[in-house]
Amino acid sequence: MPFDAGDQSDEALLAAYGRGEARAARVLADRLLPGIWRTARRLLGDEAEAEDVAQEAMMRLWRIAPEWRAGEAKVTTWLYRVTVNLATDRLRRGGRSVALDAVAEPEDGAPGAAAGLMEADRMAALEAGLMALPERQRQAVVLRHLEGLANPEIAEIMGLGVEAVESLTARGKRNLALALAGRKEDLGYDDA
Amino acid sequence: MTMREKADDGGLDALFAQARAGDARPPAALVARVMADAEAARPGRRREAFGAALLRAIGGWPSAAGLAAVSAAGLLIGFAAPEAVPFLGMSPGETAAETAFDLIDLAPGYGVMAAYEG
Repeated sequence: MPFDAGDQSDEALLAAYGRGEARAARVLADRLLPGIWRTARRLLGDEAEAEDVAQEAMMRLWRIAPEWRAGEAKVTTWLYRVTVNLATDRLRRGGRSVALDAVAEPEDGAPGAAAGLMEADRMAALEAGLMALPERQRQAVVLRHLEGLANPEIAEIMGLGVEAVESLTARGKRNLALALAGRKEDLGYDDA
Repeated sequence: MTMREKADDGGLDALFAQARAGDARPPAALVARVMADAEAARPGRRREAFGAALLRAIGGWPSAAGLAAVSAAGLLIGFAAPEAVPFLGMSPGETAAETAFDLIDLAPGYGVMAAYEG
């Protein structure tokens, strides 16, 4: 019987890949790679490193497939946890962070400057603001507000209780708002 | 939460929504690398690769065919040996039973050597 990957759960696809089914890997990568790649970019602030981390996280998924124990964890939760841990390792090894000041200011009098920054600039300011946050707050904000994950899943990914995640997210948002406060007019922040 | 914080949240939430809407797809090169990893690590593929490596190690298909032929011949000889294969040193028509006790002393004792010298 031909393998139909379309409507299968991540877990069923992983089990199929573990039995040697090549098409299951394609569907899993289509579903899972975008999220962990985006997360790695936002946690690391570096394209090349984010790609390496996303590739390594997927590699660990391929390797664990034959031994995956059904029902123990959600595939997405496991994969996000691996991604967050790999990104944390990289940041700690590199000992680096990106300051908000590193983002280019708009040139005064440039066309459209009064009406706000171009979307790319707004996104760059957001990314830089995220990088200026303490590591755990950044993780919580990225997973909650940019990946749209639920707090219980984030708690499992970060190895914390749900209340701790809520607290980290709230503090992260508050600090992010403070970091971006000086650029509100540029960002079109109040009238957004 | 103060009114000011609520306003800040509203602005941030709009910024988050904009970021989510503009999310890019992973670069094609990354997808290609991930799929190459998946293929290399695929369990069925590992077994095939081991078989192929073994074949290469013994010299490819011609060697494998030769090895199979020799193995089959060895097996056949093993089964048929009592009637069809004579022992070395037996005359034609002689049976294994007749030569069983016709042994040569290949390691003569000291006494025999002394008799020759004396």
